[in-house]
This record gives sequence, C-alpha cells and structure tokens, in this order.
Amino acid sequence: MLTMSEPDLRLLSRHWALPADNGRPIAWCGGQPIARARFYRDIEAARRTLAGLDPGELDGRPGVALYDTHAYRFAVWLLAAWSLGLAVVLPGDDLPATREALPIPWIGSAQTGEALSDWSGGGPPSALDHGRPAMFVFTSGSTGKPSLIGKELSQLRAEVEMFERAFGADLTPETRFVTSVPHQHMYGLPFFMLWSLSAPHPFWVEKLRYPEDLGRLPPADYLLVSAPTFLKHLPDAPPPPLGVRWKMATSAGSSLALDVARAGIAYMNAPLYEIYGSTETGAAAHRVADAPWQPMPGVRLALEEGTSRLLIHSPLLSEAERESGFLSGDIARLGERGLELIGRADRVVKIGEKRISLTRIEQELSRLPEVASARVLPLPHEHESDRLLLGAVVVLSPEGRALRATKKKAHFDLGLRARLRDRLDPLALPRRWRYVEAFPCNDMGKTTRQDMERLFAPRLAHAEVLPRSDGDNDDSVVLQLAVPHNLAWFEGHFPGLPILPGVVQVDWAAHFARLYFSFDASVCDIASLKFQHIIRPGDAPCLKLSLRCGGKEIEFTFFRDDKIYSHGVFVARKSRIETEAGT
Amino acid sequence: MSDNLIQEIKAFIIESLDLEDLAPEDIEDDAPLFGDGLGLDSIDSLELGVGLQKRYSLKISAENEETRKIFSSARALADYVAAHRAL
Repeated sequence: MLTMSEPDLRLLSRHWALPADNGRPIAWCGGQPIARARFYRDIEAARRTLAGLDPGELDGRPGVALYDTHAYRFAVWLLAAWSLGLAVVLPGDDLPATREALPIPWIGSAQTGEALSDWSGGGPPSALDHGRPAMFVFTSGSTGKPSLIGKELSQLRAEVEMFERAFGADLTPETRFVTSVPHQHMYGLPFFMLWSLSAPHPFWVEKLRYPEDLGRLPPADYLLVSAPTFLKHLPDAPPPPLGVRWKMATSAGSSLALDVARAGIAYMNAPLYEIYGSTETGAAAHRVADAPWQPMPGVRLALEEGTSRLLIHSPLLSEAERESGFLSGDIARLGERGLELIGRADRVVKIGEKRISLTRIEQELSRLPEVASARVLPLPHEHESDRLLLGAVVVLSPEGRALRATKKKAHFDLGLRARLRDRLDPLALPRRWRYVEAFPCNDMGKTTRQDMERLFAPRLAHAEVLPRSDGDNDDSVVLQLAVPHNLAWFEGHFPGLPILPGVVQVDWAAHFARLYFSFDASVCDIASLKFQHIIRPGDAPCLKLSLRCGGKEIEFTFFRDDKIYSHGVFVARKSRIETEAGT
Repeated sequence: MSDNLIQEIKAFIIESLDLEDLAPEDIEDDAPLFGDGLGLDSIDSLELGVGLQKRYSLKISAENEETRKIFSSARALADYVAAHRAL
C-alpha cells in the first residue's frame, strides 16, 4: 500500500537516479520555484491515478501514452509511470489519427494552463523490467510510416551521462535549463528534460517562444536547448538582462547556418553546440560553428562501403545494434576535417525540428478523392536560414478538376491543406501547390527534380514592410524587396545576363498596390513611366507606394538609397470610375 | 478599430509568411489563423511574433492563453495591434 507522505520510488531509483536533494528547486513555473517535496507529492498523486488505470499493452508489457505540453506535468507523469513499471510511449502530437493508432490509455494534457494540482485522469505496479524498453518514441522512417522506437532506461541514463562528460564542465551547479523545443521529442527529452531531472538542474517550465522571452529571464546561470528556427532570431532579441549568464546552448533538429551559429555565440557569449544525432542513435557528434565535428564520448563514426552512408557505433545503441552499428540515412565524408555531412539518402526532410517524410505526405494526398497522383518536394530557398517550404505537384482526378473549376486557386489550395490537417503534422502541410495534367518529364521519360522545381520558380520578390519613418503617413508604404536568383522571369531574359523586365516591375507595383491599398491597377493608365537603372538577381531594391489625389492615383518608385531604378504613376481611368459609380 | 488596419494586418500576414496566391480578401476577418482556417504552423507563429516586433514595436509574451487569443484571427490581431502599438 502506498502512503501519501512517503513515495515509494525504490523501483525507479534502481534504474533511473531520482533527482538528489541538493537544496535547489526542481523547476521554475510562472517565476515561482517548485520544491522537491512538492514534486514527490505530485508524483505520488499521479501514481495513484496510474495505478487505477487499466494499462494497454506496449511491446508485451503494460504501458500508457503520455502527451503533456507542460514540462513539469510531463516530468511528474513520466517518473510516476516509470516508478510503476509502466512503459511510456511519447506520441509527437495528439491528432485524432495518432490517438486512433494508439489504443491504450492516454495521460497528460495539451492545455498549458496553470492547473498543476489535478493528477486524475495507470495498471497494477510491477517491477520495471531491466533490459526492456521503458520508453517509446515515433520516428518517420523512409517508408513514410512512422515507426516506434524503444529505449531502455539504461540507454537514456547513458545518454545523460554522456552529456555530463561532454558538456558538464561548461555548467555551474546552479545552471537552470530553458528550452524553445518540445520536451517530449527525442531531442528536447534527453537534453532538456532528462538531463535537468537527473543532474539535477532546475528546469524552466515555460517554453521560450519568441526572442523577447530571453529578455524576461531573472538573473541566474542558464543553459538553452534550442533549434535553428528559434536561434536565427537571436539578433532580434533584447540583450541579456543584468545578471543573466548563458553557460552554453545546444542546437539540433536541422542544420545550423554558420551566420546563425556565430550570431548566437556572440549574443550569449557562450558556446553554442550544434548536435548531430537521430532518434535511433541519440546524440552522436557535436561542433561549434564551423569547427570540425567531434564524436560524442564513446562514439565511433565510420562509412558504409559503397553507399557512403554514415555508420554510427555508440554506447547508446541497444545491445542488439551495438555489434553492427546503426546505419543512418545520412550520406557523409570522413576526411581531414573529420565528419562532413552531405545529404539524406532517403526522402525525409527536416522542417523546424521535425523529420518529415515526403513519401508519407504523398500517400496521404493520394488518398483524397480530388487527387489522382501527387509528388511533394522541398523547394530551393534563397538563404540557408530560411524555412524549408514544401511544394506539391498534383494531378487532379476528374472529381478534383470539377471542384477546382469552381474555386479560386488559393481557396482550393487551402481546402487540400485542410483535408490533410488531421492526418499530418502542421509543418508537413505543403505550402505551394501546382496542378498539372501530367508530371513534367524529359526526353528519357524521366521526371527530373529540376523540372519539378521550375514549376515553383517564384514570380514575385520577397517583400518586407519597413517601419514608418516620421515623415510617412497612412497613405504611403515602403517595402524592402529581395529579388531571388531563381525568379521565373530571369529565365531567358537574357541568357547569361539576367535582368528584371520592366513590365514585371510594373506588375509588382500593381500587386502591392492591391495588397496594401486595395487599389485595382488593372483598370488604370500608367503615367510618367521611367526605367533608369537595371535590377539584377540578388538586388535588394525598395519600393515606395504613395496614394495620391484622394485615392485616384498611386505613385510607385523602385529605389535604393539615392539611386532610382524606375518610377511611374497608376492613374485611375476617369470614365471607367464614373461608369462604375453609376451602375 | 478601422477596417484599414485589418486589411493592413492581412497584408502583413501574407507578406511575412510568403503565402502564395493569397489575397487579403481570401482571409476572413474572424477565421482562425492556426488550425482550421489558414492552418498556420508553429514556425509561422514565431515569424509573425518577430515580424510584429519589427513592424509595430510590439512585444508578444511567452506562450500563454493571451498569445493564443491575439493570434486567433486577423481581427483579434488587428485589435491587439491597435491597442498596443507604439505611437
């Protein structure tokens, strides 16, 4: 019989060191410390709930699914379940399709509210079987079907000990852990959740969402577990508040652009370790900026002969895999500077911190009645740090063609996205859509990547509105444009000397006039049109639009500093406006 | 709250997130931006938050119920900008 005051955590502590009492709080939540005694009490309450559940079966042993977006609640549920000998599966989301695929009890909550006292909501206790997985996570395999990967407690423990050996010297005992990544995925889980729980270091419950959040941390030493999508915004963050000392940071999930790495190091004045690894292998190597990759302690890297796929020998692998090593999906070189990662061997891309299977998206698309067949590809981006966008090339079914004919393209696109929403992660939903009669193919009948990419060549400059300066008013807007190198209009205009056609500049001015002033330039005359300098790929002109004559004219100027590229005025046709007003 | 600002916010969303083929009138004033409706994702919310700071000198706080409300629709976002932007 379990008593309330004295949690029976012996089963757990044999395989997973319970945070030792070092006098520091276990976590900080809403700026308030959560004491260790409270943590133990909460685990006890969660254990009572779990003990009353009829657990499902996971790989032949009792288990539950845990999805909780609150890091503290997650930690309580996880340790409570483990202490009862329950295996825990950590789904990456709580989409209906995911719940359907996991017909075992689900615990935890997706609400981030303050309710930390409710632990209602597990199987008879049994000894946590050593040598059997205690935790399962999903990973998207190359076949497109997410596969379940099991981890034993000893593996998880070994990984945390590896972190201590590799990075422990950078930390002070007081260092608090903060993160911008989900704590239930196979990067945030070991680096943020398990490392802080076992060291123990207090963890900061609130996820960092925006760079401004860094300016709100109270004085202390910190470790940041983060990813490129967040780190690339550090230059926009307020300077660290007085007394906030960054000890180190980690980045994983996708490759970290060098300028982002350098800016991060400069901001924190601390090492920013880029981590290479996978769900299957755990952390395998680390580096700072463009220094050579260092294998994690105890890890040995090799290449598979013939394929150049990276073969990882690691103490974190399961006993069965340790002999042969784990064959990763990454193509690599091992040269003078050590490991060099070249690309993926399978059809999986990284978006944000997520591994997204292109095959899976194509399968889900093909299930829709509107779709005959579909291909999904990552689109080339202008800057290394831009987010990766997915493009879908779709051959519509007769049903799809009929529906498409009745809708604006943007609405039809959104409709297809909506249909995929409860089956795929939001990050996996294609952003660009092209509808074709048949996939483009070359003389050999092959569909090449270049042909597919050409379908998505941008037709518009990327634009960002510049903040208003004092002299501006509501009737004008200044846009900072970026002219991409792969703009559709550069093809053949002219071979070897790409120039932005004047008619396209007028077209862009009309587009932005419509976007910002609802001004319809298609029924206008153009006055005083002048082209003074050419615009070339990679140029960054500004576009100023000013509404004049009570909304009847829009003046546009493409310029950069004192240089004027082109200038013109859209003048609404008088007769037309009067005619329309009369109808 | 002016319709102009809602229009401006929609243009801001389209520009910041590079939403192709979408015009301001395709975004309904009260339709959710995340989940149903536009179906934006977590990276988008980060980009929007950073964009709001740059464009309107607005600070959006850490993930909480309020943030969810601010991003719940174009109108909600416009209301928030109108109430908080630096003048």
